[in-house]
Amino acid sequence: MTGVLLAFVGAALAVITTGIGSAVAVGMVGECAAGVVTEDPDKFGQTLLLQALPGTQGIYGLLTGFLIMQKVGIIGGNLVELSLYQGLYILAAALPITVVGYLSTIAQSKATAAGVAMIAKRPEELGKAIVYAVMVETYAVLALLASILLLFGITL
Amino acid sequence: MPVKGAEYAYAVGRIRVLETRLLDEGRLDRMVESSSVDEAFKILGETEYAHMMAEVESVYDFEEILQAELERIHLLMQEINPQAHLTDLISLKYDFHNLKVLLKGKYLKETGGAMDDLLLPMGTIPLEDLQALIFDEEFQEDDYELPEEVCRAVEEIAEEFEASGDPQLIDLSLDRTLYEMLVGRAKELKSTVLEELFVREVDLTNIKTFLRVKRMGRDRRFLRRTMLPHGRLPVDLFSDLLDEPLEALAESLEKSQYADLADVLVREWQEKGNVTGFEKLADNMLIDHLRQVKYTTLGLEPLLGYLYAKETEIKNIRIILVGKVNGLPMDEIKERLRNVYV
Amino acid sequence: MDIKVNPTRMELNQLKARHEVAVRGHKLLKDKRDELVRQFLERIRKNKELREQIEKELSAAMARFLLARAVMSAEVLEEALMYPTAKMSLEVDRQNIMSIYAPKLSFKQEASVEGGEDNIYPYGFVDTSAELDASIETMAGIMPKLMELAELEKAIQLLADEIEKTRRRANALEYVMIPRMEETIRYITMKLDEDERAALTRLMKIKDIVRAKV
Repeated sequence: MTGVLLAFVGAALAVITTGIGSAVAVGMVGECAAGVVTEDPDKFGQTLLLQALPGTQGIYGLLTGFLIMQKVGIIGGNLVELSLYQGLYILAAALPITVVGYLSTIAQSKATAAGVAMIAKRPEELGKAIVYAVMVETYAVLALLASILLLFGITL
Repeated sequence: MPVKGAEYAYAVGRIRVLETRLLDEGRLDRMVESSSVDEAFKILGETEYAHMMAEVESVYDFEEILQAELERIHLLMQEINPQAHLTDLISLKYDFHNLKVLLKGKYLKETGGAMDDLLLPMGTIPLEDLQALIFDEEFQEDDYELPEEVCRAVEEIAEEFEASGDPQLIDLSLDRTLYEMLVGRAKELKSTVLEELFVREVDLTNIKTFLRVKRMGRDRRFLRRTMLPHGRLPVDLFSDLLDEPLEALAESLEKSQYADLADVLVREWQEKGNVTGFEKLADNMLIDHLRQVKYTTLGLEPLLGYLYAKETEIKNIRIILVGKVNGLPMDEIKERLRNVYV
Repeated sequence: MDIKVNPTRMELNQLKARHEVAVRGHKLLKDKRDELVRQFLERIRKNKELREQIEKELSAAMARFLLARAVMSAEVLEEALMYPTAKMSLEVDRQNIMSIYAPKLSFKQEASVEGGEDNIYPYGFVDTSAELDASIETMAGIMPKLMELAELEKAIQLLADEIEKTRRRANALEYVMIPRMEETIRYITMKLDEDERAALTRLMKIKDIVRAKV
């Protein structure tokens, strides 16, 4: 059963770290946005859009978690027996999104907060602010991709 | 928190919007070029000063508006800054102003409200505490939350003043204490922006003071008493230069960051006999320093920048309105306007 | 004109003596008046010069003060100046111009600090503008001149009063006293002459009577 335990740890880590990262980031951007809206309530829509951006990594983490759960058969209801190595494979496959997901969120939160500050001055440049923030997203997506490919590559 | 400066997120968000309401160069220019005070005043009424202006009766009360605005900004800083003790350092100068007023009032045996008009409410120490420190015979340091340095300075002044009766000593001594506190605290709090800001202020003030003392023909001992501590330029440098011709100052500052300013200072002094341009450049240098760090996403810098920008803006408006009320020529006003932050 | 005098010779002599005094007095007063006017004009000229000079310097000082004021807030400026370093003591003496006692002002600047006689700047250097120095310096430099001006103007005022008084006296002598005395003298002389003639006629008449009886 150690294999299953390791797979669980992998799924949990993917969900936990990216979740924490996203929560922190969305919270911080939210604070910044609240500051802007205090002085200029019309900016609510635009800042909300930006606030949502660093939230995606949490979803990626959850997605990875789900895939692992499906792999080990929790969702289907019949747990697959895993050897130690198979468990380790799954844990390793979860690592890219676990680490990159977290760090990219933190990085993205900064870019997004800067974007919010930019919106405060130039509301017409919302698109550009989003592009800057989304550039960081790329690496989270790449990590997610790696994680998924790795997961699919494991044969049970 | 994993993100550096995240606690400033809200404050920075607000500041970014407020920054857009700062008066830009164009508006200041329009005020300068307006044909009368009333017109300049009207232009001011199109800005965020408008809500303050409703409360005053005439143009000539503009000082009240500026004062109220300054007060508002300092309150705002205390409200939104998660680390208010940092911006408090900027407000500390108002505490020292109040101290000077109270001390001088005490020695002039001024009673009643004669000097109350001169007290500023933007300080960080409650006025009652300061009054207790200065007027209460049985003052107990532990009963109040006063900075230790302030208490010590007041004690020293009391001793020295009794011996000499020189009112200048009050200002000189308090100025020194102020900057000792500012640079010291900035170091303690590990805020490099603030430290750099204060060190520059010290140096620029020292350069100007050097020139003023030189013009007054005072000796080295006096010069040493007027110099502020913790500057990047050593006091000995100024002391050695006191008897040299003015060019020597420019030469010895050649390699420092103040080279350009010293140049302007010396040239202006020899041509026109004043330091107006230097005073302006010195203020500009401080603003420029803050402008460099203005784009820090999160942190104290945007707040500091805004605070300074606002103080500079108020100074600029005062220059324009005083100039307009007294019919100063346009270029004399322009000559004195400080750079704007936006 | 109604003259109430005893037309006696003694009165006449007295009157003549008084007339002489009056004429001499009148001449003296006229001389005094001329001299007063001369002194007055001289002072007026000096006053004008001084006043113009002071006004120029003062307005320059005011302009600099204004510039200093522009870059400092009102509170800071007032704090800087609220406690002056130097004390000034003023002594008022009298000077005698043509027996008019005009005030003579002399002032002493006492430093409240030892060794600080030349320190007229009571403030610190951090938040004051250098333009304030210049303005304070000019103001302090103007002080002796202002004293001189005050002294001069008071003297001029007193002189003007005195000229007025002297002129009234001279006029009173010239147009009232002296003519009246001359009139009286003439009246008494005429009266005395009349008396003399009357006495003569009487004598001649008596002589005729006596001669007729003899």
